[in-house]
Amino acid sequence: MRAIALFISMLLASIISYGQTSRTGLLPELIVSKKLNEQWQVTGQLESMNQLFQSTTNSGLRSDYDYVRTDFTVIGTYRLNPSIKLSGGLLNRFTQGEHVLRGLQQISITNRGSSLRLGHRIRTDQTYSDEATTHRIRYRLSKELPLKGLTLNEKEWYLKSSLEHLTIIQSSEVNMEQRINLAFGKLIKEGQRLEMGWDYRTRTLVDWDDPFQLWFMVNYYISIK
Amino acid sequence: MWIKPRYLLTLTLLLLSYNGQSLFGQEFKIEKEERVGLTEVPTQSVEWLNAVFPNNAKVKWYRETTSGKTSYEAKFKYFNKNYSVEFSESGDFEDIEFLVNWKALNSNVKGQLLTLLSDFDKIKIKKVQKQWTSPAQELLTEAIQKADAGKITERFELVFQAKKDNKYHIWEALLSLEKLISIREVKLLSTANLDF
Repeated sequence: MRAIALFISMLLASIISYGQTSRTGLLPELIVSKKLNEQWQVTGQLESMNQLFQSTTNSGLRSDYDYVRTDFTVIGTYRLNPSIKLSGGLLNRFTQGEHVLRGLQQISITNRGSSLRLGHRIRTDQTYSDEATTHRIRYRLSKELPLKGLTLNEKEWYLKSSLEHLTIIQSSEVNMEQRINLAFGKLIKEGQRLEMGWDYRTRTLVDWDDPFQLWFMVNYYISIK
Repeated sequence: MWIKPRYLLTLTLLLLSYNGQSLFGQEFKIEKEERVGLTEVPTQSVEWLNAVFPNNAKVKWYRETTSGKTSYEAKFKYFNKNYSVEFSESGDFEDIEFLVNWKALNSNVKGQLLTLLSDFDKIKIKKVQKQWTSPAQELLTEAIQKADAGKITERFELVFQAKKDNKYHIWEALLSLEKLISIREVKLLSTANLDF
């Protein structure tokens, strides 16, 4: 309950406190996975980014709707064992009048603790557009913790948090991005989950005045056997 | 202006560093498990626990349902060991389990246990618990105090990842040094929300 209170107060603080040229909005996502056999599964992801507010140092917070993009991703996954999976896929990005393709490869490792699950993900991707190809390498650490008892039962809530670092290389230019996710999730039933929370993106976690993006995520996961 | 990022980062780091009940407890999914208050636990279970583990203040009680069977479980740390004591729905003592390090087990014991699991390939031990049972409460108390299972029944509960019939799964097995008593495939939840 203390975590929920903290989360709500943080959420309220998020709405009223902005850095410079920052944007916030909605980021709903549907993730459907289909198990093909013991080793293989295919996953489809549909995600849409919509800006609702924008803030600059001069203008302050203002309502400013802007459709940013829709991503459709198809990923094939090979399960090496119950803890390690290898995946590869293709993302199609539809922005305002532009179509972008991105190839991705990843290894994900799940550590199952007594009451929590820890996920490590190392991903590389390549974005092809009219400009030079952008290469990214990223690492994400995620943790899932049941809010009631030691194990996650159906209809129970959990807390999910993650930190991700991205190194972005385009031509000879190198940039970085950090992402923090904090969400409440519910195991609706076996194979279906709902997660709601914040996805915070910034260039650096050291300079608090740096522009950032703050997206309200609503993720729905469906796993079909 | 910068309250939010700091809040988010601090809270996320705190959550990422929090290990929950990391050292012991139910590692994988069971049908239903919930934390319960002391008043919901059968009185005889509480009395049994107080008699065998005196001066034990920090006990967390859970009610579990597995395969339609309800039981109560007390989890606590006692003299640096993480214990889990199981009672039936009516409050009767069933067993004591405590976490042990696989590497620290006697090599003969490890060898014997692995022999009993010879149907499995590529075994990777995830968790080991010793399970102690005895119809005599005083013998259990003595075993706990002397850390010696000589006069009681000692079994091993192993959670391991292994390959069988060319398929990888996680298994939970109960073994004595003589035989494999029971084994079940552990039901795992989808990791899609951690992978994507």
